[in-house]
Amino acid sequence: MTAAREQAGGDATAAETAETAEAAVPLFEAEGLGRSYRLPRTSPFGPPGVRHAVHEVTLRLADGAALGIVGESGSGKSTLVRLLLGLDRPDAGTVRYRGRPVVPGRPRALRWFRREVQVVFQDPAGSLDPRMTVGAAVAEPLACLGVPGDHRERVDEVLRAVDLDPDVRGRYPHEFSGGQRQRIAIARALAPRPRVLVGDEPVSALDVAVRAQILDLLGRLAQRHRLGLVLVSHDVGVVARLCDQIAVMRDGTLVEQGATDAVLSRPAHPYTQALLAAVPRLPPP
Amino acid sequence: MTADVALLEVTDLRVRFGGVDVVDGVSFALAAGERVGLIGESGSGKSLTALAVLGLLPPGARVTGSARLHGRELLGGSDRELSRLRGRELAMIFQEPSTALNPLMRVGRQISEPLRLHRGYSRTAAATAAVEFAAAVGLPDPQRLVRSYPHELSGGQRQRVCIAAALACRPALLIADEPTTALDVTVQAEILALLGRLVSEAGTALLFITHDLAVVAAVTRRLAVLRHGRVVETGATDDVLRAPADPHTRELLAAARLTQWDLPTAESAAARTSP
Repeated sequence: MTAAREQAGGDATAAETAETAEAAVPLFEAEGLGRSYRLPRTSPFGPPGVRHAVHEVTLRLADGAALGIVGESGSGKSTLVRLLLGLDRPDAGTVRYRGRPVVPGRPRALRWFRREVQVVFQDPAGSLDPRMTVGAAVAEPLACLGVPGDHRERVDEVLRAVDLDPDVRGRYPHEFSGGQRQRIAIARALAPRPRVLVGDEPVSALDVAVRAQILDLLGRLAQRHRLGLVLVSHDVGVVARLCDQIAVMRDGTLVEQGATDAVLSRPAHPYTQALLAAVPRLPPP
Repeated sequence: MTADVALLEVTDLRVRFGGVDVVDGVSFALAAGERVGLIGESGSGKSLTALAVLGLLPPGARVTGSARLHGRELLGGSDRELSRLRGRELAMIFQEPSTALNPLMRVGRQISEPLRLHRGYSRTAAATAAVEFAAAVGLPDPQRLVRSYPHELSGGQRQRVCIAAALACRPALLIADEPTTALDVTVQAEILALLGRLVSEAGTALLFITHDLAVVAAVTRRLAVLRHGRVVETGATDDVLRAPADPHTRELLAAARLTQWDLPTAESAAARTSP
């Protein structure tokens, strides 16, 4: 699939038009997305309160683009990710992936979607089974998604892609540092050859030097494999580094979205302005 | 003569856990009212250095070296002596204000507890003071707030409570260990501004421990960089961050710069407002 995309521009014009048609369909499209939760009643006779964790969110991820969703705690960014991934049912609006609706609760119908959209979470210690060897953990999604054949070669390939020695496949997660564990989690996500990588605070638990390496790795992988990227972070700097599109979230709504450069240099919404002004700066070198 | 004596003087501090020196000969000094940053990655020994000074190391740690406050040795002091100092001469705030506070005690009592313990305030005088301090750290509706419990407050409000309690007795030294790491960035900015203002008002020296180079730049004038339990570089914050001499500091700084985007307008604005 990737090879076909890379070869386009060579001989076949048919392939080229097919490619442009494909590129026109965005990877993700969310329309008027909403998800609310009931809060406890404040009085025995009163109605229960409602919290709009996500409210009227509309966004779009073009093929091969990188979208960063920035917000502070409680802004609804994790709920939004759960909706995009089809892990939670929206109570308003729709999510489409490459033109097809993402409807949670139908594992079989979502299998192709699961194969194309892979996730990396904040805490690699929590997302890797401590009793599973690295090799088994990386191969697991392939087995679950029904990819036929022996996965050994693919496991070695993705371990190399994240700059790990394939010989680590027989070892266990606890033998690795936090940064290496996050590399393993990324290898696992890459194994089924996804089109989109979703990162939910993927570098937030890491020390600054390791964080820089993982950011660099994610950027390289996204470019090499033409991956779409959805990156959720509380850290504007992380999004600025990796994403060409940014969406700023607050209290469940997107207050501002656009090209990262434009939003960062000329933030229009007062909240974005306050958020950017609050980020501590290093003195220039 | 007193001017020549450093407020806090740490000399060749070693903290040993199970045969490993996790703090391996750390020395630094702080003058009265000075703000010094202690920076490093996790495991560099910065928090253990602070805990050693406070006499709060976990059991099983062996400490050698010296840490003098006003020329008085802190290491190896009895719990009683240290308890008399902590809260009065020496105060601290931590990363997690929720675990630093007693969940069963109203926040007003926690703010004024040092005054009751060290300054002999009566119950009513302490209650009045708690409201004043709550207002001074920018807590909303202080009259009502002092009667609430920690779980009723946001993370930023809890850290304000901790700051109020820590500064209540106007200590000579405040040790702040990653005090804003658990907070949202807009709350962090408010807390850093508050902390900076209050320590200057109280004339309190600040030892600020953080992994975040940009935060240290906002708060301190001088810093020491720790790695594997040793000080690898010291100097004026601005100098070190502009031209680090140590390769490890250079690496940390390069990594931190990766996520600093260019913002020419904010840059020049910051240059205009900084002294």
